[in-house]
Order: sequence, then C-alpha cells, then structure tokens
Amino acid sequence: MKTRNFLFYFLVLTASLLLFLFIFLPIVKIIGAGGIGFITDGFKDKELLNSVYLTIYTSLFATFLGLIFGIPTGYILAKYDFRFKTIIEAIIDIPVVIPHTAAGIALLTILGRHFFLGKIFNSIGIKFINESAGIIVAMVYVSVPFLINQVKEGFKNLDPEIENVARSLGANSFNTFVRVLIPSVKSNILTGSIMMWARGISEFGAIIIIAYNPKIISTLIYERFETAGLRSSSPAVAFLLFIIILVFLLLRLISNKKRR
Amino acid sequence: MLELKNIEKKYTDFSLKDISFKIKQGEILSLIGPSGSGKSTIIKIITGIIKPDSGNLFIDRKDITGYPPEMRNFGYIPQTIGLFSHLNVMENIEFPLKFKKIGKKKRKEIVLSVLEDFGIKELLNRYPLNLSGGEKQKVALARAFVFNPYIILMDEPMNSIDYQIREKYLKFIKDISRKYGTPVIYVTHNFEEAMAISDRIIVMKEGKLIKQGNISDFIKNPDDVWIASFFRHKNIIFGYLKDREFRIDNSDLTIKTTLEGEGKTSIMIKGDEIILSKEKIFSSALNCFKGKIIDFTPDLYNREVVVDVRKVVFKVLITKESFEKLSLAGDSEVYLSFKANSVKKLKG
Repeated sequence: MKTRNFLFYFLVLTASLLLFLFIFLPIVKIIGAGGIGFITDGFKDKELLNSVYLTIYTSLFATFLGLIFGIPTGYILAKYDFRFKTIIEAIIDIPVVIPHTAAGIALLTILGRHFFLGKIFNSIGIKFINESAGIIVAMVYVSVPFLINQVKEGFKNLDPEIENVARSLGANSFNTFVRVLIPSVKSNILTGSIMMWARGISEFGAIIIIAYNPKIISTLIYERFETAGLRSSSPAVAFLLFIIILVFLLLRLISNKKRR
Repeated sequence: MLELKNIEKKYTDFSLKDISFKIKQGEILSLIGPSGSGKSTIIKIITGIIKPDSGNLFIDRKDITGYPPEMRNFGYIPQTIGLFSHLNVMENIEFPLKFKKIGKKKRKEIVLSVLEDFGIKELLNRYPLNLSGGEKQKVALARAFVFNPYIILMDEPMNSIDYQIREKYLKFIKDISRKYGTPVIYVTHNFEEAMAISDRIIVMKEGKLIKQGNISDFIKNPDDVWIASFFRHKNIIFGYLKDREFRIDNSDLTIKTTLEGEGKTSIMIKGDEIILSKEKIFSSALNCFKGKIIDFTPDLYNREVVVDVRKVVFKVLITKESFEKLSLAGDSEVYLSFKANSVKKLKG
C-alpha cells in the first residue's frame, strides 16, 4: 500500500515539475541569454517603450470595455433561461476557438471603411484600420469570452436569494446589481479581468490584420524577428517578459489577498 | 394588516390555488406544510419576487399587488439567510436604511441601537464568513427589523442553526417580534417550530390552504387524517362506522363512539385520553380492552407505551411517575380504557 502511495505521489510530482520546467525554461533562457543588459537596454529603446505603452494602454482599455459589456452579459447568461441560450453561449466562445487571423479577417469585414459598421464609426470620427481603436476592438473580440465566462460562473454560484433580499430591503434592480451582486462576484470579475487583459496583451493574429500599425509589442517582436532575426528580437521579448512577470506577480498578490 | 385575496399561480407541474388569509399587527403566523406544498411560493408572492397570475395583496386595504419588492417595505429572510458577504455586520444592517433617505449619523445611531437590542454589538466589524449559524440568523433578523417594515417574512430560516439551539432562537424571534410589534410570517415544514413560535398556523398541502387556526385547534381538533399525521397525532385508525360503533379494518375490535353517520371513515384517539391500568377497571368509559405492551419509548417527562390489542396498536401517553408506579415492562398485560367521546372523527 505504501509503495502504491509513493508511486502515485512520485508520478504526480514528476508530471507537475516537468510541466513547470516546460513553461519556465524558455523564459529563463531568453532573459538569461542577455542578462540584465536586455532589460536596461529595453528602457533606452524608444520604439520598444512606445510599443509596450501602447500594448498596456490598449489592453487596459479593452478590458475596461470588456467589463462594461461583459458583466451584464455574464449576469443575463447566468440568471435567465431563454430560447437559443446555448447557441448564444456557443457564439460567445467562438473567438476563443477560431484562429485569430480568421477572427481579424471577420472583424475587418464589418469594421472596414467599406462596410456599414465601419462607415457609421467613420462618420463620427472613429477609425479602426491601422488605429489604436482597431487594436482595442481586436483585443476585446478575442479576449472578452474569458471575462464573460468567469463572471457568468460567479453569478451562477451566487445564492439567488441575495438578489431577492436586497430588493426586499429597498434596493431597486440597478442598486441591487451595483451594490450587492457585482461586489459579491468581485473575485470572479478580478480573475476574468486578469485573464482578459493577459489575453489582450498577448494577442497578435487578429491585430496584425486590422492594425499592423501602430505596433503593439507582439507586432514589433514579430517584425524584428522577421527582418533582423533572433538576436534582434530577443531583447524585446526579454523586456516584455520582465514587465509582464512584474505586473502579473502584483495582480496575483492582490487577487490572493482579496480572496483571503 | 396584510391580506391575501384569492391568490393563484400556475406552473407546469404545480399550482397555487385560491389562497386567502390575513395577518394582524403583532401576530406571528406560521405557514406549515411538506416540501412542495407552495409555502415558499406564497412568501415570494408576498415579497413581490413572484407575480401572482390572479388575486390581490392588500396592506391596510391598499392594493399592493403590482408593487415591486423595494416598494413594499417587507423584511425578508430566506432559508439561506442572505447576508451580503462583502459587507460587515454594521454595513449589512445599515444597508436598508440607505434607501430611506436617512443621514449617515442617524443611520449609525439606529444601527447601534438595533445591535444593542439584538445583543450582537460585539459582531459589529465581523464579516458573514466569520459568523456562526446563530449569529448570522440574528444579524439577518436585525437587518430585517432595522427599517421598521410592515411585516417580516421568514422562509425556513432555522435550517442553518443547530437543532439544540433552535428553541432558543425561536424564542428570540418571538420576543423581538413582540418588542417591535411587527407581524411575522414564518414558513416551516417542522410542526414543533410552528408550535413554539406561532399565534396562528396555516397548513398547506399541494398548493392549497387546508386549515388555519390557533395552536389549540390543531391539538384538539386536527380535522383530517393528513393534518393529524402531520402534527404527529397518535392512534389514527381506519374502519367502518355504524350506529355509533366503529369496526376497525382487519380486526374484530369494535370501538364505542358518540359519532353519528354511517360509512368508511377514520378516527383518532389522543394518547393522553387513554387510561392504562394493570387491572380491569369498571368506570363510565365505554371502551375497555385488554392488551399487551409491545414497546415503550422514554421521553424526558412522559412515556409513550405501545400496546397491542387484538392486532390493533394503541399508543398511550403516561407520565414517567405512573410508568414507574405501575412497574410496567415489555410483554406486561394491561387494560386500556377511554370514553366514547374521546373518539374523534377525521376527514380523509
């Protein structure tokens, strides 16, 4: 019996360790190859800094839009049963499962200048092709399902009586939603936002179709790799990894503290 | 006064039929019935969470049927208690006052006085996650009472409380309701809880209101077989009634009664109206049978003695002292006597 237990724990630990090394080694290799110099050089590279700034700003804006539209969507999907709900849920998940270049092309068909939505936005001065707005829309499109699904799970697991009690205590539907329901699923919202933001930062396929320029970090790394090879793109990758690791460590700390 | 008039609600597998009742100021009314009898649906209709298909709700003769929950001014405590996990005790209790146009300072004063009344001042800064079942119950109750509602609606709120301390909390609810003068509708499927807390009881079954009355009505005159069984009355017997004599099904035993009529029916004899003796006694009681003790269950003060009389089982309730005085044991031969007018007829 003891041997069986040992074997079980040995297999579980080995599998976990191998997977961790698989994720961690490329990161160590790329940061380690250039040492701290990659990071300090990164702070001097203006194009790289602009690109990081653009990536962070657009991904944050995309997450903000995701929150505004994703929280109510998650609530409706969790609370109500209606016709075609399964189909709608499947449609919401489509951007996650299709190749992102295909998602970019699909978006282009409605946001391009010659298409009706593109025309409408164009008439009020919002352009998408090769604009920050295009980057934001592409990020929202491919990453908002992560937020919606997290929020939906949160609302699904919430005691439905919470809403009834809040209403009976004098809160109208809006106040109940804002003051009670949203705070009750805040850890799901936080996790969903982090996932959405992370997906937004790493997006490439859909963005290069809609807005190759201005270049977000993934586009810049791709361009440097294509034109000047591994040596030229590695510092940008190391710098990006450094920034992302910092931000995610911080977010994990906040998220874990809130959960406690 | 809250009044429900001809409330109906239809679902695919269940419907609430013609529900009408009133609750007066300061009264505690229990809605009792088995799971699926429609008690919770009624509570949700009263709170405004569910809209009835037909019928009306009145508060002091004012029709509030179309009012949304937030306009009704009713305190609602569900089975799950429903405390807001992101707010501490103080903030939870303050919550309803925020919608009553009361200044922050005044709100704090009110909350502190309620915390004092409910004996939970020390919980002020605690979050629901760190409260016991009983503490949660008290906080939910304080939050429901704090905004001076017309009525408090409680839907099986004792489920999260340990069985041993339920009685204490039931008394607490009763005392608080008396102190504030707020009527309470208390939903339960447990008749002991209903007995402990209520001034009046309404029994529901399959979406219908089948009996309402005060506690003594249910003890003395349960009316029908289902109610008698639900309230754990003993000695419910089925048979045929003719010429004031009741012939028991599957037995040659006949019971003398004062009941009129003829036909298949059921009767009930209360356990504490049967006299148990070791020897045959000659008295005014028309029924006297010899039987054998087959079991007895001890209670704190009473003994329920189970006696077999020609294949009919009678349960007799006697005091602990009588049990000891008679030196009763299993297999003892005993005599049971009861009056003809102790036999009550039941419907169903």
